Amino acid sequence: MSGRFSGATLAKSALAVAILGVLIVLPLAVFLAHSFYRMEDREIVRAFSFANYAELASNPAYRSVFVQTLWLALQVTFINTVVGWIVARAMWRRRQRLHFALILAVAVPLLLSYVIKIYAVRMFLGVNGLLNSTLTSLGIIDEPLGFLLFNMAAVRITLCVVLLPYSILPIFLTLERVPSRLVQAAEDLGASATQVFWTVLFPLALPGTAMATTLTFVFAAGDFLIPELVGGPNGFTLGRLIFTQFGLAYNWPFGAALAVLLVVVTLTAVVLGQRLAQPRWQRQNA
Amino acid sequence: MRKLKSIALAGLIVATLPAAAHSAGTVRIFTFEGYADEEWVGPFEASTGCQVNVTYTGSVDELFAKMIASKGADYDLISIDTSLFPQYIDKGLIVPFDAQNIPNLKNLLPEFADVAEVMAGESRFGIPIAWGSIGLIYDKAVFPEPPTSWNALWDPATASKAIVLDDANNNIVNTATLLGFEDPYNLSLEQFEQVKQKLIEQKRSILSYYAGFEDGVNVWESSGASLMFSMGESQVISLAERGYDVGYAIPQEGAIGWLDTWALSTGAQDVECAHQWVDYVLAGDVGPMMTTAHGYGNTTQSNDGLDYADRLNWLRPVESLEMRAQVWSEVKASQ
Amino acid sequence: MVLRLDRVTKVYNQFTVLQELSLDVRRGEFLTILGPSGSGKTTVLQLIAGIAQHTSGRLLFNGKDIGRLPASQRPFNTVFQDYALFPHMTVADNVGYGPRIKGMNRRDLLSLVEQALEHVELGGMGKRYPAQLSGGQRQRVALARALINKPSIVLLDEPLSALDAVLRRQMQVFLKAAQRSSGVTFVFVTHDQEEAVAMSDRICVMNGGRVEQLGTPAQIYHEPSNRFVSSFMGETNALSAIVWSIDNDRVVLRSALGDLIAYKRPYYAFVPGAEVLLNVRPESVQLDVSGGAPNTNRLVAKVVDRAFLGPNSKLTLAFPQAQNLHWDVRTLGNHELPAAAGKAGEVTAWFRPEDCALVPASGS
Repeated sequence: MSGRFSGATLAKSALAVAILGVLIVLPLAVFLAHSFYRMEDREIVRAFSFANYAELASNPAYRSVFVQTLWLALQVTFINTVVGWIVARAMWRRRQRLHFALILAVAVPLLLSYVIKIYAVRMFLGVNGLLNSTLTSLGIIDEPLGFLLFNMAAVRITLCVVLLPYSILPIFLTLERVPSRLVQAAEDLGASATQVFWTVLFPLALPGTAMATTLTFVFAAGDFLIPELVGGPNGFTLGRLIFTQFGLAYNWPFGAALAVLLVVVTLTAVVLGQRLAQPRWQRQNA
Repeated sequence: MRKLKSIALAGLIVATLPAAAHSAGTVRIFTFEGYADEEWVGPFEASTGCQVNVTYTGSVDELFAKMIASKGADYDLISIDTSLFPQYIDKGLIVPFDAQNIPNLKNLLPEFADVAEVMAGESRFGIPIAWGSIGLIYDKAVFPEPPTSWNALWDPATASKAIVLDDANNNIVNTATLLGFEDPYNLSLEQFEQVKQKLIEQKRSILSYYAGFEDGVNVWESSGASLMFSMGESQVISLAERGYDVGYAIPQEGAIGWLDTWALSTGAQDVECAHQWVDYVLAGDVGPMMTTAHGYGNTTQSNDGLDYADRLNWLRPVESLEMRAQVWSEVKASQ
Repeated sequence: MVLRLDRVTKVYNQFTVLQELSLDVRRGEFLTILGPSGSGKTTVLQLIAGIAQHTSGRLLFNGKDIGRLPASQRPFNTVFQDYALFPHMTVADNVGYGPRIKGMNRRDLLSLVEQALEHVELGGMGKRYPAQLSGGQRQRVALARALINKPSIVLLDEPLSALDAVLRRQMQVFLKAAQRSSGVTFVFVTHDQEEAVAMSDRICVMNGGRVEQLGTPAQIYHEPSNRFVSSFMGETNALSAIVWSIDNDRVVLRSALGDLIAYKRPYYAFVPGAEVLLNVRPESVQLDVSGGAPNTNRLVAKVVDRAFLGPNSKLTLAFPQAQNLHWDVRTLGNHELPAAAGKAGEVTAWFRPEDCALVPASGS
């Protein structure tokens, strides 16, 4: 097979490229093209201009939404990576036999409808939600807390809750592939539990951690539904702004420019994550 | 050959049926929920033989975008409010009805019989079907007296428990009215700036925005709100069903009123069935049925309790929807 | 004595892996724990290392019970069967792991690691990753990683089993030399008796969670204390016999092959009438080539099979008096055969009374 492809291989790769092209590259190209158009009289004018990007760069309101969204995504990513590690490590310490069941337990929420999960969190945090009624009935608070919902903190909490499986699973799955022998070896050489974690478990599960952070960041930065449903007037994000442009505001070209910006952020995160997922020792072995 | 034969046969059957009552076509309706309920679609189909094919839309913009995209060819009838006529006529998306074929036009209440916005000279482009207002909904336990001014949405004492409809035009018209601008549908740049600042100020004190009819009711429930810039009278019914004791108020500054109408698409294929549908919904008790089910005012029978039509600003075309959308998205985006 | 296992029992999932096992490890020795799989030998190593916890008994290090200390606090280091090198660290980082986590400064660490790598003949390989090394090199990295901590005992868990025969032989020599030069006590686990004999100062033969015999390789090989040890330690020719009389330094046996004489050992506790198993190693069976054999322990046999094995040959003997009994004989070279074989392939075989071992016929 040195250097020669069979016809079947060639056909298969051509098909793969075609599917990729139609499903990913083409829509992105459409978005990119739209981002240079503009709206006039409720209709899209197909004339090339940088006006949308200029507006984006010059309008302080949009700039701050962008920064605020990145900051939000970073916070969620950090929180979930830490929590994901704690949960994954706790799962990993359970008996091997339980692992499959634990994976299922974490994965099941992924099968539930996204909207249902958001509503569940909203009902939990709401004025007459479970949290408030529990706190009230315990006598910890006199009146239901109103600040749990419809602000940036609510967006952060909901994103963390809904996205948590995306942190736990990749970390757990790579953690599971770390031979227990290596942990024994480290302990045998005198390492404390903390040292075992930082010198063996963490570096070896780095690909999973990179996957977890990338997924979480990308989802958190791009999500519009959670900010829309629990964000209230001040939990405004880039995703929500894009959603507004394609819906209520009916300004597709500006929405497309915002979407292109989001794609750039996402790709950057993916590339960085990719580098993290392939540490030097693995690249050298390849 | 076989195909040709069967078409000829079908033609023969149709020709032998009583022509007026059974035209056996299909009317394709693109509308908001509430205007083509099974309750009167079924009887209509039974009595005329026209099939009804309903597509629902969630927003005015979607409806317009889809009409633009197909040049009207995808639908026979659409429902639009009075403010949209210039825009649709301009783009050639709608054509006038043949008033001769709608005998029940005589059933329209006087105040809806000659609405100027839906006429162009002698041509009738729109048939009024339902009206309502965008007022305030308030919790009767918190407000012993109905709120009298839109200022309630700014006053920290009441705004902190208020939720507001996430919609560009309604918010801008309302705020412009509150600021005392003469024509809230036609604002200068300076006035836009003032409206924007006023809305940003509001954003800092209110509880939340909501995006849609059901969402408003849900947000009311989970946020513990007591005041709401509503989407209309029907939300009162939904809140009452969930056990809230709420009232509906038109503040002294007045409120936006909307009047929805049927309009005939330029690309209509079954013009005859379309006319039969319009005629049918103007007849008898379709109007009251709609009022009972959804709380909208109807245009053919007098409406109990809906006595404030004279205090409403009927929706009109605005200077620039783009501008309004942009101002609104800047309001939402600002800190 | 540096380490003592005192009646250690290990029960795992209601299965008794070790049964009241006692074992002393002497300072500076190369002790091999030898046994078939399932004998509990690896468990012993894990208990010492602290990877597993014993159920009862005591683990005394210099007289102190260390049985409940975690692995990280025991002055022992392990060379694992699969080496367990950290794949994400360079060779130097692997070797320096122990001192590094104990906070040794960088400069001292560098020179220490360099020294350790020289010691295992891996100088200059420090920057490589484990995946870039051969099996034997990895083995030596694992050893260096253990030795650098100056442990009281190095525990080796079948470290040679993954290597091919040639490399294995080399590593045996290397390990033995490393142990000698470092003076560190090695406890080595293997199932390979040749390896055990070649490397060890002492061998502990284990079976079914018990120590069968503990002694020098020569003791274990030539003076097995029971049937299991004699059969596990290489090939042997066994013959059931009854102790007829014990006369000073000789034990007279009666067997299917006639009366035979064995050398009396100090630890033999047989009384006349005891049923025993006589064991003679194939290389201890001689063929009477020139007719000058002594009169004792002479056996007339028939050669039923012969196999040329290179440096020597293996003959299989059958005996007219005892059907189904076959003995193997090792002879140097191939040329002796024609002379040794008389009419109809008949030969006379004999062995010296001091070259056979007696074990109780009953028991394991």
